[in-house]
Amino acid sequence: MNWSGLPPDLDSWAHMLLYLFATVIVLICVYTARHYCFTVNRVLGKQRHPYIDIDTADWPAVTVLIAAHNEEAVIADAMQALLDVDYPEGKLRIVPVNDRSSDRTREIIDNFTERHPGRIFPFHRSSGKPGKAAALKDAMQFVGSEVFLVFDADYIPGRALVRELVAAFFDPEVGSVMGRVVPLNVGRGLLTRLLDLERSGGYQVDQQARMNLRLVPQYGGTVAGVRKAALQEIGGWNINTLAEDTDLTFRLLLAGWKTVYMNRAECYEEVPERWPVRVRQIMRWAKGHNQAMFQYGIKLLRRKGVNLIERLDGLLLLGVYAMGPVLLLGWLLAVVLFYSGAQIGGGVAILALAAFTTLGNFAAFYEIAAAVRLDGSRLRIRLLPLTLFGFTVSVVSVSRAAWEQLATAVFGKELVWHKTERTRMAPAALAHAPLAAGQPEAKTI
Amino acid sequence: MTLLAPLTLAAATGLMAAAPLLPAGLELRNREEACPLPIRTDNGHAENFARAFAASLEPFAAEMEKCAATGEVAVVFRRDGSRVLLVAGDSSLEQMDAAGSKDVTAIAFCGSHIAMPAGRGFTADAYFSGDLETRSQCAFRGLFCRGSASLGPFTRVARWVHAGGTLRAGEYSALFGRASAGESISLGMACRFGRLHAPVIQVGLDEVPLLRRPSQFPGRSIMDLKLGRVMASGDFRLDCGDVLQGHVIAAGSVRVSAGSSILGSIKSHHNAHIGAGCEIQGAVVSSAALHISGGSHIRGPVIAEKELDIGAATQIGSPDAPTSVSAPRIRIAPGCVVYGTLWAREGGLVEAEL
Repeated sequence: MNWSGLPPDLDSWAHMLLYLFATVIVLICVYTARHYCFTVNRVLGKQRHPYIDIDTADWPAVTVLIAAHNEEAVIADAMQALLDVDYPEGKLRIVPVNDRSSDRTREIIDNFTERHPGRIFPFHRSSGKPGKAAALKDAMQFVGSEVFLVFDADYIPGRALVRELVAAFFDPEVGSVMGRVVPLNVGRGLLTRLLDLERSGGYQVDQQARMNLRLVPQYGGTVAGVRKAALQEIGGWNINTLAEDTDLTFRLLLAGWKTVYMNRAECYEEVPERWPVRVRQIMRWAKGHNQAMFQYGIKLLRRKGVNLIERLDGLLLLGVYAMGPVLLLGWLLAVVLFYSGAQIGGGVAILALAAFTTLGNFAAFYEIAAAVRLDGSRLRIRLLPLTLFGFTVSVVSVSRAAWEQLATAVFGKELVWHKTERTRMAPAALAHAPLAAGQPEAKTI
Repeated sequence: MTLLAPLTLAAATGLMAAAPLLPAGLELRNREEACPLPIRTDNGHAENFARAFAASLEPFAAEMEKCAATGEVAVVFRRDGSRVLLVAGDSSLEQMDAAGSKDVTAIAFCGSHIAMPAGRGFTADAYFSGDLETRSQCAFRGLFCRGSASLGPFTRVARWVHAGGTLRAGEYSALFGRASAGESISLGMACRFGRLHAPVIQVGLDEVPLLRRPSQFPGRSIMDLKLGRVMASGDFRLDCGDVLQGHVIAAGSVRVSAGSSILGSIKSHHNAHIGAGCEIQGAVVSSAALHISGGSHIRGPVIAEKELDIGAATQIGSPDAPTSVSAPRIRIAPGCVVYGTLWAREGGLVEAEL
């Protein structure tokens, strides 16, 4: 490698940039390979659904926590759907966690409680630290069962969902379980349609491939379940994090508990309809994820009880949101190095650069394309080129989040929880949800 | 000329860049799939297909009663326009043949007891308003029987079968797809099966044996209990007659020797072997193959990600706590009893001999 015409003192700087660029390329290639492995496994590999056939059992008592903060538009749908699930009635306890709501959320919850005595046990939280993790921590006093599920207020579970999630806990190694999230308000605009594709890729391919390969499926914080004994063993909810889900996944993993993913345990959710809301949401996820990366990355690498492949996958999972700024840095370095006259020699280097500029940027879209095919829809795939736009917004947002996080660490400010805005006009949105093909029974929610 | 060239170049480049976005633009404009993906909304019960079929015939209850009373073959039409043949009883089979059943999508037998001669085959789903008894080598596509159904040897059911009372499958029968019963299912020797669900599933038995050992935790699911965990980084072995309270999780294989008891569940990342006469109060989950020797009793779900081999006189679940048994391939010996669900994803087989 050489530069023509650069003074010697700048030459060492240029070399350093080149090595940095090479590191970025290697990282991108690692994630590219990861995406392709997942996609190929999902399309061609053997699928693991070990608990899906447990349809009859001596079902345990279950508590369902519904995290709600100003959710008047959606909370009624969630509670009604949970009242209709197919689970032994005396064993299901629904606890709406009304976290300092200032709208009609409390009124709606109390109305349901009155109409369904002995089934709904509301927890109205009027003070304390804001944030979902803090609210869930306070709500644990209402959890008398050994297994509890967590739903956000905009989620609408199907009839078999509670049973499907609980079934995994018959495996004594399972500490938490995650179901699949399916956007309900897809047709509201370009953003919702792009998020629909993104969710497909994330769950249908990414999470299920990790389940197939016995890696680290992620507990996603909603449409999810936790074993209370496991939570107690790791010290309960961490209220100092913005992503209690990622935090929990890794603390459980370090303590020898598994998180499993149930692709057929599907649940509708409402995705953001406005770009600013989406940007805030992904920035919060990025900050929380990065927090977990710094807290558990080294611990995971050193943890002997976790097998090597889980440790590696866990590290890559922790680094997902850090790749946003890394990618931006790569693009910047590519431009700088190009105009500084850098010559990258060697076939491998050229190949790596080609991978970075082409396949590396498209691996995630390949995953989405595979997911759409697996979902059996024909026309959604047409929107795939537009996901580049969503991807760019995400990369910039995630990079901004990382920058803010850095500044926060330097200036010692506390990270703030931003609630995701809801736009559903309850309960009419449900009327547009189609029935699953081949399902013999009509939807009752 | 000088302006036209760059403009043409810009337009051509713009068109080429926009071309891949054309399908996206069309989909955004036409919104052909701008609706949520369908998710599972049913309760997932095994008998759903059969019950949906029975429900589709409910509007013809009066016609069925009339058919049973007059003994005449009749044709009715469902909402989707498909034809349903109503037949009074086994004495009307000849009439049914004469009427022709090629274009019908369902046949409803309206008598209280139907005796089906050997070798009968139905390409349409069949409904029986009473009991059904078949001779050997009958074949059904889908079969709903409001009473009890006794299927003769070598009977084949391709998609689903449900009996409101008991469902008996003779030797060498094959119940592909879903089979369910309101009271019990009894499988003869060398039967093949897919998904079975009933309060009691007996394999090669006429009588249900009494529950040998009572539950250690009556009225409570194993998941309701706070139990410790024994973590083995390699293989785990429990010696003969030992009793262990707590869950067992092994990164390697698990071997529970004869006569042992575990008051908890077992998870094995490799093969697992449950010895003869063992008592497991919780679930048994194996990431590979699982062998259960004869005379054991497992109260919780039994899951194997590869093969599952169940020895004679094994009891899984109990009348007060039915459970699920699942694996891609299951071999089960005569003399076993399963309370709840027995589900072989790829294929299950009852062994031909004890």
